[in-house]
Amino acid sequence: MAPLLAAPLLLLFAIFFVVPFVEIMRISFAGKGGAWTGVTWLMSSPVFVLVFLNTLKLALSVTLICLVLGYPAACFIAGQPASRRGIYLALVLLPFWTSVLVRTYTWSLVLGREGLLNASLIWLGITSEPQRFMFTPLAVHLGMVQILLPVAILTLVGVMTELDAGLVRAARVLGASPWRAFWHVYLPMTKPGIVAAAMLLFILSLGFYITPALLGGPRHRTIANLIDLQVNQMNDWTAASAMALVLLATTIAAVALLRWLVPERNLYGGAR
Amino acid sequence: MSPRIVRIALGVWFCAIVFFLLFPLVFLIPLSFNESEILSFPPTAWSLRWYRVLFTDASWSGALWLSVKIGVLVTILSVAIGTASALAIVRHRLPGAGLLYGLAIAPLIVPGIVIALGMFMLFARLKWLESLTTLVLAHTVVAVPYVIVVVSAALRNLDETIERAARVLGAGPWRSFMLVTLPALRPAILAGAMFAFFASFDDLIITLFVSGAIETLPLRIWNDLNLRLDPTVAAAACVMVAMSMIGLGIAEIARSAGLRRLRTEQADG
Repeated sequence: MAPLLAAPLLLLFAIFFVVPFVEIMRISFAGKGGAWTGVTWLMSSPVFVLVFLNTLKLALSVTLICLVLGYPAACFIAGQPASRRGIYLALVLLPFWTSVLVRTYTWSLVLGREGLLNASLIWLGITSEPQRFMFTPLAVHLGMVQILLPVAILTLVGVMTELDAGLVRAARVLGASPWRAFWHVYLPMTKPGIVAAAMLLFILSLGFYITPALLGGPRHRTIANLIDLQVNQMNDWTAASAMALVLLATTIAAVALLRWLVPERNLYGGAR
Repeated sequence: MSPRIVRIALGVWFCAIVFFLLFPLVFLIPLSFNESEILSFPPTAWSLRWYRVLFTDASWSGALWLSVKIGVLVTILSVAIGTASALAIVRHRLPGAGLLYGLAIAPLIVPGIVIALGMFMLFARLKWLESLTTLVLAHTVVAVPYVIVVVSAALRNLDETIERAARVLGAGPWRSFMLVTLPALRPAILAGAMFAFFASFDDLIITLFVSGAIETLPLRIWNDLNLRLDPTVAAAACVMVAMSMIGLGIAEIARSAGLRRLRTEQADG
């Protein structure tokens, strides 16, 4: 009975998920002549290495910003009585479940030359000329943080609501200042949540395509954008496959690190 | 720093974060009702002009209905495949169930562009591109994990003795599933269905690679963004946001109803 129940999933995933990966491997290792396979050839390409490092850097800084912004917000939600927590979580979930494309598009309207931000700055007399916000690292960061911040908050709240608040109270009773109680008791207790959220955000940031393409422009490409460029403009499937393989390997390494660092129950809590 | 001040500071911080998260969505609404051809803020005159274009212009309304149609097909497939495999994984202790679960939720972690590229290259060779069937099945791969996550979580929380009681009282496996398990799973299945629908309805990257000339709403918006800024995009975006809000509302109601039922059952027991 059980194999029969799982058969449709296995069939679908075999044809639409596993075989496409095999195809990526096959094409990428078909290589650029001789002993050079796609991946080694790629690693000697300065453009790719630059984009690869940019993608890592972007993922890292977005992750850090989300954690710093999200942690106090998660503390606030976790500190509410359970009956009211749902309402506050809903406020975070609302943007989470709306289209990434729509949210990115709105940022382009806010940050554009005639956009809301420039109009406000000019109206306030801060600048007289419209400033350039689009196609800057600032725009990409704003867009990605807005998209990923709910993931950070949901994961952190999941861990914070599970821990024993009595321990913090005990520290206070025993004479610790609020700051000391937070720094030596609360923060270390939330560490699994912080690690889980950080890795999850990092993994998700690595594959971003829409936001860098719309808000970052040609100078702020990620690997995902470069893959698209190789396929749709350069028509170079070998390079695209090799890039996809590198992106996938980086993701798998991050997932493996995550599984090693965090107990599984703290993981998929809030992940989209 | 007294705890009171800390609480207030956290509250202010939370409000600022919610403002940051919601503001881009709220900002869209007035723009979509703007009469002008230029997306200026605040609007000078109000009108439903762009909504009229969205629902009457063949290229826009066609894309909208196509997205809804694909979304519904993907949802039906995902619910059927996802619920069946959740049962196999949680209830029937299939050998390698952990591995199967890992595979089933892998599309949530693997970057969309990698999945899209692999499908594109394989289906180009098989000449499967530009087919509605291919697009629906491709979307199902990224939609089905949501159903599996939500339904298997519900199954794990469900008390198996109730099912066993039904079996002891003479119900066959099918009857006990239909009369006992399925009603208890209904909220989770409904929530999973909503998530699956939006995974398909919002998808851009896979559609971009495998759809060819088939233009879904996100693809229509994407193609438009690369050409010019048509205010119809704002109206289309508002419709997409409104649909997600309704969907999220349904999923949330279903989920909390399920929790309530679970709680009363536990209280009764």
